[in-house]
Amino acid sequence: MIDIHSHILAGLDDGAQTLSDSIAMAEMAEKDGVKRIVATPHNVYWEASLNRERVVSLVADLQSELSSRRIEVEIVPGVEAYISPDLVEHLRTGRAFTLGGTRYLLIEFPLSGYPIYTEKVIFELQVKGITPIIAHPERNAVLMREPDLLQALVERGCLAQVTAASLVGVFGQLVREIALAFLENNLAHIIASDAHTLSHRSPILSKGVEEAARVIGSERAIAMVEEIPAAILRDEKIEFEPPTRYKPRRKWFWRK
Amino acid sequence: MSPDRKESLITVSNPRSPISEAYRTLRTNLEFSSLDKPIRTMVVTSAGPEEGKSTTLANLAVTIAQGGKRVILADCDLRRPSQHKIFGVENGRGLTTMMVEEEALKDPPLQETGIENLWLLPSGPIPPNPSELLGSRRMEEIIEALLDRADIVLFDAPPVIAVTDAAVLASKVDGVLMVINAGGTKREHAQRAKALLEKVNVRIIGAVLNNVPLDVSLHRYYAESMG
Repeated sequence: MIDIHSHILAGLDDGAQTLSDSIAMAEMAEKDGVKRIVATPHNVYWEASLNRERVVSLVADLQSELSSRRIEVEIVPGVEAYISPDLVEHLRTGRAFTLGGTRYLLIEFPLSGYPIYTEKVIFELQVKGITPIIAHPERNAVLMREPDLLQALVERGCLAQVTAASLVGVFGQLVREIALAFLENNLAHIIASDAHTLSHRSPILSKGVEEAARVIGSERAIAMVEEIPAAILRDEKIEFEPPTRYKPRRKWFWRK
Repeated sequence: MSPDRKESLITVSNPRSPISEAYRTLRTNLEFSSLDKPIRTMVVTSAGPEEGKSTTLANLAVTIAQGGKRVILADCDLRRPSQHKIFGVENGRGLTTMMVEEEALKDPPLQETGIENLWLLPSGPIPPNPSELLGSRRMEEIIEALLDRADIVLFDAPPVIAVTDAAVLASKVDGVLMVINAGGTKREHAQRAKALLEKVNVRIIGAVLNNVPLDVSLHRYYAESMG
């Protein structure tokens, strides 16, 4: 499996705090069957001086630590870019950058809102050849309520990533059911861990995939952690089934 | 060819069908209706959505190209673009790229369609402010750049009643062709669309009645050859 969203780099944000945290997270991921992790620290509101060079050098440091411990997980540099009107400018200065140098940029919305400049920023990125990946829409208060907004973003060519922990129910039953509904309606394309620690949002992907498989079948669920992220890191254009109109599940609490 | 394209482009898949014949008649009528002032730029639109304007336009573009003219089909439906799907090409770069990139204005990102004399300018990424872009001075430069490369430029524009895009764009071209879905478009919607366009001094060249039931008895000879 490949995990395109992880806060495994130490001391940059609210994810891993020390090198031993990072190593423990990598070990846990390896045991779960993860072969590659894109390190995606928050780029704006935690660490003012974060840029591509810094992440690349921290990734190299962590990689050599992992190699010396025979932990066979490859770390790829990336960032979780906070959406802002000057995001394109951040790309120029290196404060934002794509996953492993591909066309794919992981973008985070504020959890409580849908900024008025969203569509403008998305357009500016796309005209530059960038394909935005919206991080965990199932945890955004506005997209949870108004999935039509997510549908419009996907129809504009954005991808969306749901968090494995959301599918398992770590953020509650509502988030879980919305995440499953997004998968069911082709409104999300990738499952990733958004790992911050060893518990809560952990690096484990397999449990989220199992939950997804119950709704969309195991082939499609596995593709979301294998073929699709692999194609992303090879910088390939990916064709997806168009979204279907999101129909809230009649009972979102029927599963235990 | 993508499945979409096979379905939508009957003028390519079955040029001898009565429908393709109807497109050739349309081509001739358009030429005839503008003898004194040849139409070089034309917007094709409809009153409301789902009336078949994009498919009609794609087939008209193919038919004009088959007649030997160099045609550029520009997808200016910046809300629900579909020409790239009909022709099975990528939509990463297109009209909106020409809006923001100097290089693209000099060298338009035209896509080959596999049909001689016909090039497609896809919409490109969907912008937040379509009518503003279509009404801009830059749009006029884009039209000029496309005219440098073709005999006729056809524009796909969103339905007239929902948004102002078509009217805004129509005021920059030689004329407008309305697609009307027989039995689908409401009479008052068609009239309202016409009034909206006339208000901005647009030349309505004519209307195409789409989805007219075929009288099979008149076309049996051709119908039998339809595959």
